[in-house]
Amino acid sequence: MSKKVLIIDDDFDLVEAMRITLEAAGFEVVDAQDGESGLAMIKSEAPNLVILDVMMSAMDEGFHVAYKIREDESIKDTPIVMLTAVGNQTGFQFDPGKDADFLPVDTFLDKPVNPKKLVDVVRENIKV
Amino acid sequence: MIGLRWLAILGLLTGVALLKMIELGPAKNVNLMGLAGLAMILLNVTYLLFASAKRQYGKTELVMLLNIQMVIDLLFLTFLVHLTGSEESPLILFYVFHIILASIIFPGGFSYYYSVLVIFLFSGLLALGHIGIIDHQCFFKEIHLGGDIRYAIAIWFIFVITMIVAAYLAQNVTQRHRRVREKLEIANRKLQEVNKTKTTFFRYASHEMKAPVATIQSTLMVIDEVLGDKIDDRVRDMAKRAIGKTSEIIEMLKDLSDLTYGNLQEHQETEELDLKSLLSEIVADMSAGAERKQQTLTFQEPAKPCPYSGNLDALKKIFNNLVSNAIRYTQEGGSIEVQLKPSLDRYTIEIIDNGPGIPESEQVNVFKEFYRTPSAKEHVSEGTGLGLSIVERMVELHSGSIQLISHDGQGSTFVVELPLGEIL
Repeated sequence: MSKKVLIIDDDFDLVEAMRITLEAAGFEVVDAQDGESGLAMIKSEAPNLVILDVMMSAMDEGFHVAYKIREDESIKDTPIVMLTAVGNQTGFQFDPGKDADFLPVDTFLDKPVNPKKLVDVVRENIKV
Repeated sequence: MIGLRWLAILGLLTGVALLKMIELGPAKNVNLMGLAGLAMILLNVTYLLFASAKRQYGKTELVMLLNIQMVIDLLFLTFLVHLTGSEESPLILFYVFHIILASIIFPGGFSYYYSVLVIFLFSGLLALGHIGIIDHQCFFKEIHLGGDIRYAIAIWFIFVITMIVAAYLAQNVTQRHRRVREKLEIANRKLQEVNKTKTTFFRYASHEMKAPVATIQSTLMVIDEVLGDKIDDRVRDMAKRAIGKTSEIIEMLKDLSDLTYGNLQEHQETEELDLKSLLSEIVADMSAGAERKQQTLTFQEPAKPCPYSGNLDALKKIFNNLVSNAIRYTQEGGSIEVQLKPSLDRYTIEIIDNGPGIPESEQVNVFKEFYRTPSAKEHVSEGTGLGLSIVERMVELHSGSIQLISHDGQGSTFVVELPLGEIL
């Protein structure tokens, strides 16, 4: 049975690009356009991994969603890959190495998303 | 004020010594002047101890303390004027210094109050001398004008006018200076705010621009890498070229964003780090790139650690940029050497390559934004021309300097000097 990946991102085209990539690699992909519906889908779809964009309707929505996932006993072990195109541009200065302790995600992935790297990161985190 | 008083004391004691040598005034008076000088030394030491014991004063407290010092100084001066012949004394000119000092130190109309005080002290001295309550001192043995009331009135009249005019002029000039300074400060604050708003706006705008380009590139990469087998080769080539273009745009946006680095205070954090480890790490990270071009990349490291207080992100950007530039522009099989030389007051870091070098005519422009030398364009097609501007700005953030030494065809050396001490 194929592993399921939930993408929470409000950029439809990027979601489609990741969907094509992951489906070609044998994953099942579901998606949500915002944090709230994303949280609901984690419970209803029980994905094996969540790909989460940092900046959606609110600038730091991705962080809040990540904290809520980790606070909820039923879904707290779901691996999270956080998409970042932030760095210097937005004022968010974080470093996955340094800040991993207080940012509850498993891996950071830079935009633009390299298909090969995306598949590698997803496989690694789901431990396929 | 304490510093100025030391000068006054030095002047007084020198004067006393000279008077002793040429025996111009009565020995008793000269001795008393010497004693006054010693008393002023004691007083100044007391002020100094007081100031060092309690460094933080409220504005009112400070004004009061300075007023006390000023009044005591004027009493001393009046005593010296008395010893040197009251209306005959050349020291009466020194009252003007106090009026000017009061207008510089204190806001508002303090110089007028001090001119009134000075007039009161001098008038009192003359009056007491002429009605016989205190002895009039004939300081200059062969000149005795003080006894003549007409001379005293004439001197008093000129003195009063001088003090009032001095107060008016000093007040006028310092007030004008204060107003100009206030206006400049306001203008400077506004400029800083505008600059901050501009930088913040730019960073957000840059992100907003980068996000869709990143999506376009992600999509193109899917077309190239995932769906490549299903599309025509020409379409795939077009996708590859488009990926290259989007990379350039993303690189440009990143560089532009880096250029604003340091304009915002949150980036100006420093931390204690070891420059030797940092450079060693950067050289290790870059070695794969050098190996791909069969280049030799070495680091001449000093024996001991090199502690330095700086901004880690900025320093990484500086040396990553300089070393990667050296790799990019040096021919295959070339060599790049990084040297770190500590000295008493600075670290000197040199990035030396044996690449094509930069002609002297082009060297003045290399740190300019968007400038790429014709020879650089010839060797490497991509590049925004912002890298060295960013490096220069970040070096300046550390109060340092960067210099290029190069001759056409004989390699280039970038020399970065980072002074030790207060930075950012």
